[in-house]
Amino acid sequence: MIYTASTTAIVVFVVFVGFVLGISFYLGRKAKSAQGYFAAHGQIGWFVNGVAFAGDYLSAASFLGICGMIAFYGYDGFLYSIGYLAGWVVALFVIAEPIKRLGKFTFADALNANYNSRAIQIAAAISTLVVSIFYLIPQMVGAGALCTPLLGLPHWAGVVIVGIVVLMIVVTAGMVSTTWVQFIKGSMLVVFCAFLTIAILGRGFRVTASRDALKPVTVTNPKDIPYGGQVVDIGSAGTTPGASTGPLGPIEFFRRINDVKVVQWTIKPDAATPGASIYTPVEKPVSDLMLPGGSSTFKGVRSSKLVDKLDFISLMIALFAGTASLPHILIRYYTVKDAAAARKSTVVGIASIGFFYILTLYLGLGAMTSGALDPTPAGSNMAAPLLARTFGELPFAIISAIAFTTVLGTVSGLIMAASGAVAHDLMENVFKHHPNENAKVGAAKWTAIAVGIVAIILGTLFKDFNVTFLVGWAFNVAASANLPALVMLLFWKRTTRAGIVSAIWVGMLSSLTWLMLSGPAYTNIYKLDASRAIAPFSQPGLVTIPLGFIVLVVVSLMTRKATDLRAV
Amino acid sequence: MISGMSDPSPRQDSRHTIARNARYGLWLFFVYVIFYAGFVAISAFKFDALRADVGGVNLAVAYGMGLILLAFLLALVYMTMTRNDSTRDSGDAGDSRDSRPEGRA
Repeated sequence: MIYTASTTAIVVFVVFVGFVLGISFYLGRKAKSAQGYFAAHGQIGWFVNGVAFAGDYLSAASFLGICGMIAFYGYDGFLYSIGYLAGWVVALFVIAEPIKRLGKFTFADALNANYNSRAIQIAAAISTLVVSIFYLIPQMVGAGALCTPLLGLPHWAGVVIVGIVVLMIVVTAGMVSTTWVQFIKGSMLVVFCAFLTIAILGRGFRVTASRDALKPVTVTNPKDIPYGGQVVDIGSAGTTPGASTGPLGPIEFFRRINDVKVVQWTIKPDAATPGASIYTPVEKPVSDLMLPGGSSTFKGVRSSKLVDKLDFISLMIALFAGTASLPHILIRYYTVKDAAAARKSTVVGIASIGFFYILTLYLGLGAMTSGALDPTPAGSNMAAPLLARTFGELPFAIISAIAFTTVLGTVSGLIMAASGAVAHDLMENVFKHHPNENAKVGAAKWTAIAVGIVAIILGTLFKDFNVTFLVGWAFNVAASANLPALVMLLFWKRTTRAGIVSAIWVGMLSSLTWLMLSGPAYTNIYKLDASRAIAPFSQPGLVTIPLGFIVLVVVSLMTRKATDLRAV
Repeated sequence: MISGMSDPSPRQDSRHTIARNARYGLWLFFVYVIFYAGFVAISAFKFDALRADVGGVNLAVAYGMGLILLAFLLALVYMTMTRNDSTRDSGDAGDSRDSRPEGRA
């Protein structure tokens, strides 16, 4: 049986969540004003903010999803690591300093800094809401997936627990407590994953099962599901169970893994017995898995069709362009004092996030060769915790609790971004309703509760979706809707307010429409054949990001006269 | 509890400083884009090249790790190249309200 109830896990879990909530309540006493609630008084130090970037950004999808994807499909999970980190280059070199100078609380503030336009505020606020809610879904789904094996609770209960705990964090002290939760979580995640990587290197590769012992099995009871990730051959060191390479260096690890052969299980329903599945062992050399294209998401890399290659390129562009367009990341720039602090904190963020993404390859490959995986599709999200369990019950408990706080940190940031969009951008700047500070913070808190409830409902509805895949969708929408407006505002002096507004709407609606007409939406949402999909490939970024730029330029040139008049 | 390291006081930077920082940022951005685009192009159109041996690991692993390290390296270069007026004595207060980078004013 792969999952067993663990008292240690539950105790560590409760202690972690209690610790995080305690800090939130303690710091919450200090944040009463709107400046405190939305931007932590702009007084967060650059180092803390940099690590909080990591805590904000390294979501459940990054941590659980990437490790699981590497464990199941090899190199493909690492492509996400590469793309997610590359996005920070855009954030540091292009966006960080100007966004800090232009804005006050939200991304809409920055876009609107030179225009004072209600239409820009509405478009930017709606885009913030859409992107944040899109991004919230996979986080909530990840939380539910984690709670089932860890605490023995049903999926919906996990989603509700995360929703309630996050709302307690956000409602108590907004950005102050959110920042500290993200700082603690970011530090713990990076440090503990580093320890786990050292343990993986210290153990080296070992044969976990005999090739002859692995035979097809028919499973009717989930308790009989066989362990995945069995190592049957480690090259010159042998094929006898228990044989080991001994400790390996970080580079030697990649050299020696080319000699390793693992057994993965293919799962098919048993035609003879309803409800039963046949698990068949398939032996694979890991060297074959160390190249991109093993999973369905990236299979386009190995395809001879141009359309499939464009799909791959499109996703890599969306990952590259999406990070600097995510509202919950952008609002972190308002918690520091000035542009220099914004830049320094981004460098700290890149260092911690980059270091973590390098670790993901060791963790994923460690899980792939751990002999302890859950081979079912839902088990991919549990690869990292199950890997930790091969080192003992306590590491399992700690990594599961860290994964849970990972969800808390990211969801808090997302709900903050959404509540800022409604209470600050829409209520105050669009409808010109100017409440006093207390009422404004109150409105933001009520918005946070409303968004939290929406997130709980969506997290329950989308429970069968692949977590990492949904995050890819959020990156596409964010990059298409926000990046053209942000970049052109900064670097093209002829940009007009109409250009910005139309670029946001066109980018957002075109990418959403494309996604809803793509093969994965046909399969997963409408339960139709993917070949009937209208969109030529599934990832829209390659088309809709340039479309946003083109619309902005054309509309700006067409409306330039009006802007000139306004300037006079 | 760590309260972080922060600069003594926030101050607006001069237009010159902003423009220079933005220019350095764009140069480094383009350097990274070339390497990133190279990786995506090799993966999409020269797949077999990813099998090439680079010091015992394949090109896919070496290039991927290299991209992550390059991002950090360029970030450090950017840190050493950029300055802010709040870190010097000669802040140009006359331009301090201009918040637009180069080419925008």
